[in-house]
Amino acid sequence: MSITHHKHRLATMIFLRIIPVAIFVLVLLWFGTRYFAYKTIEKDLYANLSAQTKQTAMLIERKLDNIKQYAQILASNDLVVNGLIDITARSNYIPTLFQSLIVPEINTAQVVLTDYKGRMIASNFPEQDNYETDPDISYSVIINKVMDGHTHFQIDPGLIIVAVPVNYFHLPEGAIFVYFRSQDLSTVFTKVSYPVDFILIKNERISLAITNEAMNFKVADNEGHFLEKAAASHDSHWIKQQLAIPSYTGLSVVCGLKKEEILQGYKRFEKLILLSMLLALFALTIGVFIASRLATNPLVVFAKGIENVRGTKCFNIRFPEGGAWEVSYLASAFNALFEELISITITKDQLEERVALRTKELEMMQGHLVKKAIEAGRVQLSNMVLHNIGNAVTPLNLQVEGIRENEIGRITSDLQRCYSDLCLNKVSLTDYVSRDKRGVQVFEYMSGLIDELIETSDGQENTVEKIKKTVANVNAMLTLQQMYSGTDPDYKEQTDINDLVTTAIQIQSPEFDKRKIKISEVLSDGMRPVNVNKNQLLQVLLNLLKHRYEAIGYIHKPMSQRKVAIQTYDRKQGIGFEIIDFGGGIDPDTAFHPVETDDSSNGTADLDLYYCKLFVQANDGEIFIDKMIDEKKTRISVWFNTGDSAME
Amino acid sequence: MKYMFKKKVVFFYIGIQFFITFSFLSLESGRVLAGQTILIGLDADMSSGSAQSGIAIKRGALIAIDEINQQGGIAGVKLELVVKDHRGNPARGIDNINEFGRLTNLAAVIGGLHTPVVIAELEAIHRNEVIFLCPWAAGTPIVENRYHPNYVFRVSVRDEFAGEFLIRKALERGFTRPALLLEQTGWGRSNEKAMVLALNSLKLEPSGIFWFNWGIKSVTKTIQSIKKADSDVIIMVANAPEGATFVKAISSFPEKDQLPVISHWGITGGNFYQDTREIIDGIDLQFLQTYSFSAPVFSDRNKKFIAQYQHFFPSAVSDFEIFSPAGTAHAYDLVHLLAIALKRAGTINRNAVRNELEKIDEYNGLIKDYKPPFTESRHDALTEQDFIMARYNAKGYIVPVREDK
Repeated sequence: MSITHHKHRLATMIFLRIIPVAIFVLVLLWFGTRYFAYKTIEKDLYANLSAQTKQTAMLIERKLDNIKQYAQILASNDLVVNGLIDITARSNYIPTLFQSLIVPEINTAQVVLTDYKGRMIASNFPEQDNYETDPDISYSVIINKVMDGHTHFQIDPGLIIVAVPVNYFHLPEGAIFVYFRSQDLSTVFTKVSYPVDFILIKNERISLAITNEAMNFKVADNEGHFLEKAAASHDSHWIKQQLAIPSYTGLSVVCGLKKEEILQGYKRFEKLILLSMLLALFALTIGVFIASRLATNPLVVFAKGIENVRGTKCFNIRFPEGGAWEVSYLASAFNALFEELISITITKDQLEERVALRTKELEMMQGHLVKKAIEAGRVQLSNMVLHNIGNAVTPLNLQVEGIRENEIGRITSDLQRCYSDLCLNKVSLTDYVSRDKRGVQVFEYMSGLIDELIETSDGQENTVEKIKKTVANVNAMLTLQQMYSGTDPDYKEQTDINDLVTTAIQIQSPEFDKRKIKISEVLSDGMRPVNVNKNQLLQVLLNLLKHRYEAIGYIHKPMSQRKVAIQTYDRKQGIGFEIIDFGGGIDPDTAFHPVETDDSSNGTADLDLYYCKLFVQANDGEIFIDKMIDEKKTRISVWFNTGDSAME
Repeated sequence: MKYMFKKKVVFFYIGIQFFITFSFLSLESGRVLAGQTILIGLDADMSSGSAQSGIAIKRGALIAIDEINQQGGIAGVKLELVVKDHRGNPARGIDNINEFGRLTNLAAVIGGLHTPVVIAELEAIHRNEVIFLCPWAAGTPIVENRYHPNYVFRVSVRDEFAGEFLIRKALERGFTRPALLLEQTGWGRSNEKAMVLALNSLKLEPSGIFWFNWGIKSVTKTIQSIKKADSDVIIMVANAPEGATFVKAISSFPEKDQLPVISHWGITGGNFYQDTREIIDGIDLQFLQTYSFSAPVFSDRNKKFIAQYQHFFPSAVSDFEIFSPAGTAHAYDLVHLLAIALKRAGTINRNAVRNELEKIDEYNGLIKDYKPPFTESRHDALTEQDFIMARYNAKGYIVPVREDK
């Protein structure tokens, strides 16, 4: 596929698919954002309205409380209390006092002192209508409530009443009434700065407009109906909220904010969103354009170059570093990477050469060392053998010397002399050997010499026998030396002792069967392999088994004791095996000596034990023999050190 | 024959009618039919700051009514006490008097405390022609009112005498610069007049006249003003709540700065002692009284009365425990005086009874031998000779000053 075709295909994909999809997504996003934004704004505004309504309710409550407090303070004034009691006071200072009363912010409010039945005693506007006669006011209800000790607050159409009891000795004896018109109350509230534009105070009987906006709603044919509508929650122009004014039962405030303001805010926000959308689309287009630049020529070049490198494994390729900075940067990075790779390749080759050379050297060294080791072993073994041969030959020499020292010669010589003496007295030989003192001694001496000659002859025969045996031993040593130091290379390998034991038993089992000796094996699981000369170790096993069956066989043990058990161990201290049986025939102190000097059974077996020890020790092992005295058993233990702490 | 029978029947029938009519007329003229009671109204403070006085008056009246009823009542008709509570409020008092006035078998109303209430009631009393028997309200204008005939009769202190009495007592103790501490009511004004007159007659002036209103709470400045005026004694005309407020304020000063107090009897009409018991021992306080059950003028009558009192009100273990004694004693004597007048009048027509009250020659009452109690021109039964000074002892009982040990 040509690059041009690839570019064309890419452009088609971008402009006919990606961008339309992007536009579609953006439009969808716009509508969604628009919707949720509007909802969020509305929610925030309602939250704000709620807070503002609460604040407004508190302000209104405070204003109403102020009026109540005014009445209460007046009611608790002792001048007023006295005015209830003293007729003279009523005519003296009470009228003057009341005429001077002005309710703060409500100049036209009437303040009236009444007796316990609500009959007026004094007022600040005595000329005004007596509100007691107002038919709309449930006056008897109010005065009864006040005489029960309660403060009364009432909003009626056109009239607002605050009544508080005047107490003497904690008992209500009269009342203070504060009356004022609804518009007066509006005047009070209009002097306060509110956070909302629309405020209505309402209860079940009346709605009182506080703000101009609320008052505007009163402009209608039917004022009451219009106000009710204005107080409703749904309105095309306002969002409104109603909240009860605390501590004024049945009284609530309706606050509102103009929807137009919300919409204004929203419209600004919508324009912002639209602008953001357009910017996003523009950015997308630019981005796609830039990406397309990256996706066409440079990317193809990169792709080809990398494919080539992968195939040829040759990193000598270099990308041109011109053009768009992204491409230049990428090309530079690739070129640096290739140089690094070349360097690594060279290093790798060098390393391989060195490794090969070293390996060769090591192999040579290994062979040399192995030979040396073998040689050393052989030398050592030869030294030992020679030493042992020397040991063996030394008594041989002594014995030969003994023979040479000619004990028989002395006897023969003495016999010669005795014969000569007898020859001198051959005429009267019988009388000489029976009666003559000398003759008797010579004859007895001659008899002794003959006995001694016989004895000596026997001894020499024994000596000859020993010499023969020694020579045989030396021969065996040399044979074994030849056998043990034979053509097998002296190398060690990881050996499974369980396998060797099994093999050794198999080899020796006919001999065991012939002698009616039972052999049992206990092989430990999970035995670690031991690094030993496998053949030698097998030979050790064979020799030991042979030694034991010969020991049991020649000692004539009863059937219950004609048993040999072999057990393998893998312990912390080492890996090995034990052979336990009822056979004797071993002195642990001398078992491993190379020369047997007593009349034990077989000189070859003893020498085998010696060589067993040799090879075990040569493989970093130890061999022990001990007598288990209480059980009358013999135990041969062979252990190979694994490098952990010493054997127990 | 038939005609004669019919004639008899007609006459009998007419006679019955006459009887009924006459009975009705008798009612109208004040005669009480058998089976009804004669009502005596009580219009007093029964629940407010001076409720103790109202209860004391009621008790005195009840004991007297019981004695009279035990003796057959008034021409066989029992007396009954009807109680209304004015709570010290003149408006309530006026309404009470109006309601009493509508009762057809009402003989009289006993009223007290306070002077302002009674003064306010005067119009209603006289409009309703209700005989008003006053055991406890000292304002001079109560009796010295403008009404003729005067329906108010009093066995009580009269301020005209009390003012002079208190001033004299102060001078006897060596005080020469009394401060007049007066409540801003008719009672206070009544005493102001009497006290200033009494001082002036001795060429003396008060160190100052200090007014206070009912319900006053903060009085320290007033006391300081009194001290600044170089007063050596306070002559106080106050009821129990305000009196307690002042005495507590005086006790807050250092002992050397605490002025002695000579008080009118108003403080004994409420819980004055209970409100000041913690500090009262440290205050030099004496007050006006008219009777002491522990030091009576007539011990036999006193003993008999106490026995009756303890019978009706067993909580009063001793004579000391008869609280507000003046009210009880006054009411007791007043009811007996009324009974005499009722008997003499032979009717409950209040005008007739009123006239008879003025004509009683003498009566040996609990407080004194009234000779006579009232006259046409004098409706006050007590004079200054009937006054004593008293104080609270350590247990809160009212005792005459001379008996204080």
